[in-house]
Amino acid sequence: MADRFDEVVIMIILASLLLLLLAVIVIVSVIKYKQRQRRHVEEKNAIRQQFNQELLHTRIEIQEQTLKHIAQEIHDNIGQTLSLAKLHLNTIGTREGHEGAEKLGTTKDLVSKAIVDLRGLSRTLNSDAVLSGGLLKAVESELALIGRAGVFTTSLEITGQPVSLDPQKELILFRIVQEALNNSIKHSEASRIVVSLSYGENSVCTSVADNGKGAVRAPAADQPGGTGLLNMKSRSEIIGGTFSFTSAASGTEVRVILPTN
Amino acid sequence: MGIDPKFLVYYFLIFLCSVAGMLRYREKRELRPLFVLLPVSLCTEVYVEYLIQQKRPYYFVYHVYEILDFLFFCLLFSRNLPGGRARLAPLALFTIYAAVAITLSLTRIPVSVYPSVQYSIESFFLILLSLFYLLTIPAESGKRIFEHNMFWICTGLLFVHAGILLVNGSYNYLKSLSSARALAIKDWVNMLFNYILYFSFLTATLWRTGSTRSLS
Repeated sequence: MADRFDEVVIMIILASLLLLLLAVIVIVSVIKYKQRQRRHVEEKNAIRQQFNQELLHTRIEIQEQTLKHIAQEIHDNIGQTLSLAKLHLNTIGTREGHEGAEKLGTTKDLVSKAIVDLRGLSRTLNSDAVLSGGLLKAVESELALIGRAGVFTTSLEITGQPVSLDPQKELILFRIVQEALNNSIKHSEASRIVVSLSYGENSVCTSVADNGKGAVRAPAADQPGGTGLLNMKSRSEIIGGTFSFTSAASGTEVRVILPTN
Repeated sequence: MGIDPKFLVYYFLIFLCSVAGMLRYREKRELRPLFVLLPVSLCTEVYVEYLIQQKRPYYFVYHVYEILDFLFFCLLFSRNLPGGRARLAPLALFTIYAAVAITLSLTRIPVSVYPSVQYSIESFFLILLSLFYLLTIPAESGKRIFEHNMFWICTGLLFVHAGILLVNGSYNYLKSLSSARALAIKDWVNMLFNYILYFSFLTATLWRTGSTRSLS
């Protein structure tokens, strides 16, 4: 009788173990499902991110093509027309007297200045020119162009040993600098703009700072300057950089840290 | 001879599941094989009950029903398993099962005897399919595992068939202890597991999933 009782107890234990095993299987399936779900969400996010990156690349490519076209138009058409106008001006005599000669001289100077400015603008818009000359030269040329207007004092500060980056990265970095400079010109009411390029061992830090009125906070995407900030951020993400925007009553600074290795 | 109340509850549960299945037939397309199987099960059980009342042999009904039962479950898994090849596995299992079950019915286990071996093989295959599905439920963002109809069905099938296999496996031993008690235990345990199974079917049928996958 005692033996049979023991056997019944063993059976109950076996049945309980079976139930426990089944419960464990269900719990494992729930845990595994959650893991798969997490992976699924991660994959979806990665695909979305990749799609956004490709979209940005395409936008940038289209933008570059447009800028290149505008640059060529400036150089080939408007530049040529102005050069021709200057040539004609040179052939005009000074029969109108002293006053006429002075006016002619001023006009020639203005046309010459327009030609130089347009050439500079054409160079900075044309990605080929930026790619061939390198980032430093392109920034120098951009600052010179701004400086010629006489409204801002500009300077370029370089620290460390400059290294050449991937040409596409240099181009995107240059477009970020251009965008930051445009923001300073349009919104800051500054008198001085400083671009600094600081080359470290593993990264290059590019910053555009002005001494303007600053912004209370980063503008939203639909506010003036907001799209520009978003563009700069997206562009830095494309090249693997870290973008930061700081603003105070003493001025605004846009900074991009880009790994070099 | 009156009908045992526990059987009445069992029939009522199948009836309830059949009605719920009919109500959700259009909405839950992925469960359609189950919704067809439920009324078939109800008809089978009612017919068997009728034969019992008439004191006529009835085991032959189960020899046919077990094949139909497994066929519909295989179709259900085939519709819900992820991936093309995985969907063929239940159909391959069914082919093997049908061949074995028919051979057994024609040679070793006559139709006058309850097809317990066939049911044990079916249980084993259903446990395998349920385990496979539970461990590979296709992940959908924002959808909890409990919102998958098949989670409830597989959990129900897993518990019920594992339990039935255990009881059937130990039936001879229990019979050696006491024949009457063994039969009573087997009846009660089987019935209890069947209640669990039909409750799980009812949950799967009535659970609102929000976004039901269209698989046809």
